[in-house]
Amino acid sequence: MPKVVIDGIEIEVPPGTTILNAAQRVGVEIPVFCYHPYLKPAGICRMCLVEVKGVPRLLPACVTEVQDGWEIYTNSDRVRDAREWLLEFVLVNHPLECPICDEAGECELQNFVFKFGEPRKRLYDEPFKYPTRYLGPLIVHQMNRCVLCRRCVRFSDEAMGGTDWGVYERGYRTIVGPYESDIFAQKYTFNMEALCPVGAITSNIYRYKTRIWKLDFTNSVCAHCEVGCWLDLGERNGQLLKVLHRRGYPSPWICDKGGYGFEYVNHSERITVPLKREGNRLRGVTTEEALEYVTGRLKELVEGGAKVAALASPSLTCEDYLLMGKFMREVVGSEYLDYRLYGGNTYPERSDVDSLEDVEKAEAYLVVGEDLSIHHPVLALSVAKGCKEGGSSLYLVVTGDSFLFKFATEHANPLPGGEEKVLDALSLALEGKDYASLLEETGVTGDTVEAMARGLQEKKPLIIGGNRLTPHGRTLLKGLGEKLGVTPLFLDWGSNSKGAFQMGFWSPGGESVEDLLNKCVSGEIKGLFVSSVDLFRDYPNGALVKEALSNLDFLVVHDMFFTETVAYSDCYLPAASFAEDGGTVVNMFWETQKRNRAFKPKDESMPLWQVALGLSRRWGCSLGDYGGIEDITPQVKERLSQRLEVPTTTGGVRASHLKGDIPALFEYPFYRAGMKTDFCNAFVQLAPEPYVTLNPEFGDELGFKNGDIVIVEVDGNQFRMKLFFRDEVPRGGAIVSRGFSDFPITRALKGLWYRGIELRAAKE
Amino acid sequence: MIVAIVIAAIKLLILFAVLMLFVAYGTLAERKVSGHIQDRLGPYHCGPHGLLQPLADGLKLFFKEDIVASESDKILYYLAPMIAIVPAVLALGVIPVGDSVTLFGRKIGLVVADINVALLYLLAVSSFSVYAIVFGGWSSNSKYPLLGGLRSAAQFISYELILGLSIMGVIMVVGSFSLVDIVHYQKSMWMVVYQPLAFIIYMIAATAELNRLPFDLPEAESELVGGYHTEYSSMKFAMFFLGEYANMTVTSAVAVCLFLGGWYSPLSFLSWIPGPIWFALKLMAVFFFLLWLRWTYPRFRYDQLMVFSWKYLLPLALVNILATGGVMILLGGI
Amino acid sequence: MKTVAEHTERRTYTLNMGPQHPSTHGVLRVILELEGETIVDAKPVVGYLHRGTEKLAESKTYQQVSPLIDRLDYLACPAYNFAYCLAVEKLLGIEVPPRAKYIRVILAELARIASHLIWLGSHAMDIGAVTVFLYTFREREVTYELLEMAAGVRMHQSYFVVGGVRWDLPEGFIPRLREFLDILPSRIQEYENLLTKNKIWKLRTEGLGVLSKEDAIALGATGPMLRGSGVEWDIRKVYPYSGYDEFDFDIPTGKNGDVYDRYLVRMEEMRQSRRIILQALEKLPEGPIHAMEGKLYFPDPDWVRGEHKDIAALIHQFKLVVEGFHPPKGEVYQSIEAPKGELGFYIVSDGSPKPYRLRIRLPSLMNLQTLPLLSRGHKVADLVAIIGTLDIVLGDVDK
Repeated sequence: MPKVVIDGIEIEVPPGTTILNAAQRVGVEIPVFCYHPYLKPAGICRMCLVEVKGVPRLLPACVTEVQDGWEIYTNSDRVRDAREWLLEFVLVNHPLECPICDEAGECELQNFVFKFGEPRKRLYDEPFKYPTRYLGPLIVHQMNRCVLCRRCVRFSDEAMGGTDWGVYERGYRTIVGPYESDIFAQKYTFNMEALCPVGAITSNIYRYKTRIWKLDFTNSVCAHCEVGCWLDLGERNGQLLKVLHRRGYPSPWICDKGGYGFEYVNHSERITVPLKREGNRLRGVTTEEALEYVTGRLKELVEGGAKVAALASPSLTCEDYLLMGKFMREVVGSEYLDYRLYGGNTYPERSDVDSLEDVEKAEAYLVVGEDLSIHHPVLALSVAKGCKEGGSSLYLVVTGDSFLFKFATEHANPLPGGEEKVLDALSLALEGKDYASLLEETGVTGDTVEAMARGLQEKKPLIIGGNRLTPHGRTLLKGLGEKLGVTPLFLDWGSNSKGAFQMGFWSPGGESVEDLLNKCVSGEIKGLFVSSVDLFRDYPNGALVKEALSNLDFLVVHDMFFTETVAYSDCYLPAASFAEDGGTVVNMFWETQKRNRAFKPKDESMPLWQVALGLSRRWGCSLGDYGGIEDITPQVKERLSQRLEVPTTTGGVRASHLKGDIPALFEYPFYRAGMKTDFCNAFVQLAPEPYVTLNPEFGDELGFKNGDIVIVEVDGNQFRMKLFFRDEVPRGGAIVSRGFSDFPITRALKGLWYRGIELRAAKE
Repeated sequence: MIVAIVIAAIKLLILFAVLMLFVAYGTLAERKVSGHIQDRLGPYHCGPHGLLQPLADGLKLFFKEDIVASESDKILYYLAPMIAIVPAVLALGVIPVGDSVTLFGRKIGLVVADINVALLYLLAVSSFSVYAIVFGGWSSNSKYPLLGGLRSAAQFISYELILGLSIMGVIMVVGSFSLVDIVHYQKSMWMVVYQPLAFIIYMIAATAELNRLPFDLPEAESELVGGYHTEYSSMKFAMFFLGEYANMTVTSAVAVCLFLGGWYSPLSFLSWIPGPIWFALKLMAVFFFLLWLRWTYPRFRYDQLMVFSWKYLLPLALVNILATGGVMILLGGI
Repeated sequence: MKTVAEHTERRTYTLNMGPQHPSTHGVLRVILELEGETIVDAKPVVGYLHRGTEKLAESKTYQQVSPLIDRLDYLACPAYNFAYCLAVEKLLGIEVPPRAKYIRVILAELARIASHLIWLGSHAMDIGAVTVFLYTFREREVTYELLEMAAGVRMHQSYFVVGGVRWDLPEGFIPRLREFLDILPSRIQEYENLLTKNKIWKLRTEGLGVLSKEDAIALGATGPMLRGSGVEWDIRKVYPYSGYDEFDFDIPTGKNGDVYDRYLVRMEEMRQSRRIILQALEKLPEGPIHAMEGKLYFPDPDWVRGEHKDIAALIHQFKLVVEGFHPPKGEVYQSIEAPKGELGFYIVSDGSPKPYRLRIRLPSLMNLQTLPLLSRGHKVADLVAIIGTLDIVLGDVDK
């Protein structure tokens, strides 16, 4: 173990440690520009030059490995001069934009110049005059300010597997940026903005809004997906203006939904007063009146012998589920609860994966049934890292995967609806049995399956089952896992479905949401309480939803915006967003996380637990004396420590779904997945209209051209949308977008994500 | 008879008017003199060189809000300022401003009443003015005026005595209480030559009587905020002020009569200037001296003031009387 | 039946010399227990001018604290700034360049003269000699003129910054200063003529408010209060700062510790200050006026936004405005001889750009403690003389 002396402090470090890491261990600070702890060191900027006794030149600390017996000086005169001169060079063409640059306040260049530089330069030249490029609604690229540290390029290459971003030209004409694209929004652009040490890449959403030191930061957890990235919410004057991911858990990277998907919190269309239906109109009323009304009507229904159900989004907090569940069970006396409003009939399961580090360390991956980069983007990055850096093998059985296929060892791209058949085939292949019949109509060859089966047997894989898997698919995957000795990691919708499950917010009778909605149609359930979800947008059976809601006597919607569901409601209660309510959430690894409140709920908005308390108090049976959310948390923690039994469910992909010309998968675009992304202005600009995508060759066969307007017909429903060609779509299948709240595509679905469609050109 | 009364009334009116004029422009003089002593200009904008300032001040005080302290003894409260100006006006009655003039065949002496106990009358009347301060201090029913009033009572009584004793010498020399006689006596030589000590003691005592610095403890602005007139405002405050300046004028007039030769001109070749003019000039000189004194010296403390009068001035005045008597006996055997 | 003695027991009455009073030098309230005109007890009540300087300083950067310090003793602003800047420089461990040192001494001594002038004026006016007030203000007007020349502002200059002075002295400053110093002795003589041998003045001030040596030290009185009692203690000699050990000057001390002695001490101090200024003018070297320009105080505006715009200067300006410089962790106490006494700043720094704690040792507040002791047994009229001799400024008492 080499021993070194850094600034007089002796330390022994494992071989291969760089000077910078050794100094970090000792607590000595060396300034760096291009080095980033989560990227491989590059030695580009030369800011970290240190002096080593006996070595004639200054050495870059971030890439030089220590040798035994070195004496390192990080603050000698030569080093200080070097830093000063380096900063002088960097500043030669830097534009004088500090007063208008958004990075000011957290700009590393500013900090270093103030600490190590001189107030005056000796070299003069004009600042660069590159144009400011608005690369889409997310980031702004100002090449004038770039210091050529290449962090963004390295991120794009290492973590994202290579995108359009790169370094072009040479010398002082060097440009770092996209080569072809005019819009750069590649799901992880937030990280590039965060990595940039100067204001070359800045956020367009935050542009010119405020200064970073004026924001109050609160620790919270992202509400878009189960990965549960830790966020720092930057709030000023009751407005959520910026989100940072400084604490780097669970992954140092975060996706764009987490980093930019918070604009809905301060959206101008947000309705923050309760509404009550009077004839054709919904009138604004006081909270008191609204809660009285709801309590009154519910009581009427219950006393009349009818049933009441409650549906809630899977992204709320455990406290919400606990109290609402208590209200429904103990006060209303109903057991009809559910949170699985994105379809499917599966419950959360435990796995043997505890953290993203475990994911990165795995030697092989099997991913089935979800495009990870859309619904669990950070997990996708971890899998990519495992493949790229760890050399693990990746076996994909995903229809239309858009990201991980770049790293895949074997990629099965089955037609929509065929994933579970391929899975079945794979199981049989592992046993050596015959599976050829299963592969018909899936578009996957036997060779692929064979190769996968062999690969899986070589190294113990990490199995990830996506959120599309039906109960049948999960059973298959569990069986496969048993054969390999692995418990799969199953992914669910929303950001707190595990929490909802633990709090018991589901019907013990095993009813799925479909069953509940059918009961609404039949009249058994006359009252329904819906929280924080637009059933028409997200539940994959628009017709059923419509029938159900029309047949209800009483519908209460607790939401933030006026969605289609609210149009059917009798009473609207304003909901608080994730930034206005603290609480406990459980992430995909069954870890308990805490969200904190950034600011008070706007106007009359209430989180769900407060609604439950209010209703129960007016009903006459108080649920308890809770002053704030901290009073509920101990009960939540108690419940979370219990281990509930997961009920078994059945159901698979039915062939009836896929009758039609073209089997289609209905999937969210990245910028429409997540919570309330319809009201994030930037995302709406990136995914403005619904579309259908075909494989280019298949599209040619059918006689279409990229960009045509087509009619998608399902069950007599005709939807007019644009057609795009994308390579990742399997030949013979289509991928139709969903998740547009003003486009009722869910009418085409019948409870699952797959449907056979008919495509034809639209006549103008 | 009636004619005499009418003449006396006219004289009184004229003297009163002149007194008021002196009082008004005395305030201006005070401010101008103090200003120039303090290296600044004093009033300047109201009229040329501030000559209309007294008019402005008078109007201002007239229009000011009249605040009455609620706990005050109302009768005395209203009475005190009135008393302030009365003694001065009363004293006017016996002050001669010039020799007699012949008008319409009548010899009219330029004095309202030439009584033979003029000095006694003066002393009696001037000692009345302490009531103004004491009443003002008492009736305001407030600690600061009370302190002012109490101080003033003690101070006034002590210095009244000295005042009386100092002019004893003059009376002894002249042999008469009548002011006209005293002035006539000074035809050739001013009394100040005969009675220098008496003059000094008289000036000091007069300053104390007038509550002027260095003896202005009853008012003592920096210690007692306003002393006896703390609780007064508007016209009542103006009356106190006017009373002070009127008293100053009258006391200076008396000093001129007693020691500075009255209306006689000091230099014989200037005797064509009429007596009253000389009187006025000498009056203004003494007035100026009083003003000058105010802006030069710090203030005595209360007990030091008492000590000064009783332990120093009183013996001096007595010594003066004895000396005068002794010299008179030596020189003339009277 | 009450005895005669009981009937005639002497009781005290309470007179409130309230916050609004012509001679309490600000908003000082003294609650007097009087027996006739004799003071039995005098209790000063302070806090009417409290503005929370120390607490405010905790939320401002080191440079932003300077204007708060100016407003402590608003009659001698440079001296207070001086102490603060010295304290922060001690914390940072830097030395100011010589030219800045001498400029600071010149202005601090000028402030001392100015402070003593107004002390004299108001003290004399309280005792009755009103003219002296106007005369001293005539001289003080010249000091205002000089300070305006140097700093651009007559009061509350914040001219000293951490690391030096803000900008150099303008051209006309030194000739005007020399003019002033030339006439100063004759003017001081003028005041002396009016007061020093004046019988009434001596009557009013001699033997009054006697503070013994032991009492002065025990009560923490500093400045002329201490020196008037015969203790030879001047921070400029004992713990010299900013080059005072290079100057030749005397420390006047009194013998009896009464008001008259302190008056003489302060008159003499004015002359000694003049001496120091003349020596400083002789020694004034050319050179930079700021130790670490751009790091502690804003760089030259020309480099920030003028013709010679420079990004490095802009960055420094930005960081200084928005964040401020980071002194090392630690605590420091630095005191100077302010015109009114020992002024000390105790700063605790936690490494951040804002002081963690700023504690100010104020001379007037400490000197005010002696008021009850000094005034017992004297008359009400003496109280104003004693308050005058304490030379308090309420901004300095209340923070």
